[in-house]
Amino acid sequence: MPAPRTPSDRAAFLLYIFLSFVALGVWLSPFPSPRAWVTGAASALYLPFRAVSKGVENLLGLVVEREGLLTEAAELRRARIGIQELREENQRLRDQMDFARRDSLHLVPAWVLAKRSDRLGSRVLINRGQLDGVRIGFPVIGREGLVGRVDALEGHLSRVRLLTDRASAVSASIDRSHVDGIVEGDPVEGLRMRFVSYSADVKPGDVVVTSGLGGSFPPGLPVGRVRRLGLESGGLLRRIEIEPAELPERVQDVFVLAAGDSSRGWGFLWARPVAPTDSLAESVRTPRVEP
Amino acid sequence: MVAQAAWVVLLLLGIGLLLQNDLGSRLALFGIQPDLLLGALVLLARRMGPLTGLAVGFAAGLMQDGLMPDHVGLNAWLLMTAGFLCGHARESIFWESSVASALIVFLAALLHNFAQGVLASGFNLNASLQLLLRSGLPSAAYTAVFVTFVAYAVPRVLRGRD
Repeated sequence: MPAPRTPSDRAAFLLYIFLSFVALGVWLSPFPSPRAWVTGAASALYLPFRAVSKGVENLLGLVVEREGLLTEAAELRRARIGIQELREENQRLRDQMDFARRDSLHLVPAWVLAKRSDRLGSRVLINRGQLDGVRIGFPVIGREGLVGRVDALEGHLSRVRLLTDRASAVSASIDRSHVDGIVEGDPVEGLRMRFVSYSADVKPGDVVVTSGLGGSFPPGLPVGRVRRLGLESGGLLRRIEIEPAELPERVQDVFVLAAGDSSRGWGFLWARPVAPTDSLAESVRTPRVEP
Repeated sequence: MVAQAAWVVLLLLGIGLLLQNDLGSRLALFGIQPDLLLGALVLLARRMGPLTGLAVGFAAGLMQDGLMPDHVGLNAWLLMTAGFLCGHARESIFWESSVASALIVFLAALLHNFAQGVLASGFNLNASLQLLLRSGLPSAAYTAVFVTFVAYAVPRVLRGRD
């Protein structure tokens, strides 16, 4: 402990001694009241500083928070615009989905009630009709390929004109070489593909599918397979005999390719308006002259 | 004059406690906090003398004890002693050297930590030494470096900028 040399030092020394007694007295006191007094006084003195500090801290926090909120608000505004765009895009896609759903292939299973295949034509009667969502013009397929299409209907009955009907004509193409032509029914030969150039790339065994160009059938439905090649009269066009994918005599269980939204018929592509004369009863009562 | 000085000291005390309580915890490195109040007291005593050193040390220690009432009065006595001794040492130590100041702050903090450990543990020297090595020594070093940096380097940088 340094020795006091000046009056000031002496006063400091005396003060030190006095305050040491006070401090150590408070520390070593067996009574809790001095410590409680010190604690209360310190808290009272410190509280304003702490309050100011807390206020400043809160203020700084608010400034930082405000910056964050402004940034967040800008991001939210941008996100809101994005959401609006997504909503509109979603609506457009929904519309397109709805459109696609209406035009998607919906299979209506049916089984053949009766067959008729003679020189007048090749037709079958199936157990699905207008009340089942079937419309005039709907394609009918079997397990192997295209069977025909509905040409008359009633409540739960439909008449299907087979591909081999001599009045039947389907736009088709060679699957391998994409050579287009028209497949017509022939009661004797089965099917013929016409209007194909002599130089077209066609070989026996080629698969023939619907091309979808005629608008009556969706593309890609198997029609048959090239059996024999020849020449039309004149020699400029090929005469192509086709073995049907679905043999008329074996047709038992079929599927009607119906539109998802049957109220709209077969959509814009393959359906044609239902004419009153197309009813099955009408066609039975009034025999139609095939072209 | 005295009343005005008392208010200033009180204000400085409050700010020092705030710094110690708020800033000290934010400056912690590996759990070691600098003793800003002690460092400021040492530097104040260097400039103002032993009377101010002991008075401020007593008040600051008492307030610190009141806010952390484990050993009320002990810290007041220790800080007062530190302020008193550092105030007296200003005539015998070349304080203008930053290294000497850092050393004084380090020794003061180390002795303060040791004395606090010894007295608070009831003169258990083993426990006090372990505590000193584990936290007292790093804390004293951190206090010396930080306080010296703030007291010497920052003013020089500010002056150089002007």
